[in-house]
Amino acid sequence: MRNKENLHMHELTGLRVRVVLASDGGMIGMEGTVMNETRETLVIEEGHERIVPKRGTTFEFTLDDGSTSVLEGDTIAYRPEDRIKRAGDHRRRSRG
Amino acid sequence: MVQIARERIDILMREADLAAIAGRMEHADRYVDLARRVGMRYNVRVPTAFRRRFCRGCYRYLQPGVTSRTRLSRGRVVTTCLRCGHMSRIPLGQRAMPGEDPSPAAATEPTDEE
Repeated sequence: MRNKENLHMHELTGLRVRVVLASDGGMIGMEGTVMNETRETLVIEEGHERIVPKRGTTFEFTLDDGSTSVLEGDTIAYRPEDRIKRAGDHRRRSRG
Repeated sequence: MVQIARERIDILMREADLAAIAGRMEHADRYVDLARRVGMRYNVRVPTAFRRRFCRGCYRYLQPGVTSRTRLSRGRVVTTCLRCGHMSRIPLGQRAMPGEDPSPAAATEPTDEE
């Protein structure tokens, strides 16, 4: 199950997301469903698709149980299939 | 890690199903692609039920009646991908064990053709 602890290495596709902070001020407050993910971006859809860069952005994801989890975009800036391994490393490094 | 990979494949294939139902095949194809990538990276097999929902030739989502055709022929289910033309044939009935001669199983399965 996706939870706060493992979200950074779990599947983001299909989750509701809100942009909390962004280096591009115009993106703050943007909300929608994650439709696609690349190494550097998330594609968020609400009416139409918007491509949001991961770096410099803080996201708030709504999990399956309705709780929310905040993630720094920089910590998930890996290819989706690499995130399980590498985003885990990233967290350990930033803690240590 | 492997557990998360399994969960992600499951989530992605369900999202692919939903996208295909909504008629958004490009999204369904992307989710299949991601599910396969996750599986390959962490040495996790895509479960058989999910593996039969995408084409083995072009790895795109198979939506029966829309992007695939399903026919029965000589005791096998033949699924044709309407985008690349690849046909996958899955035997019906008793499954032959690996290494065993599959012909006895095939023989017990009468064909309804000819």
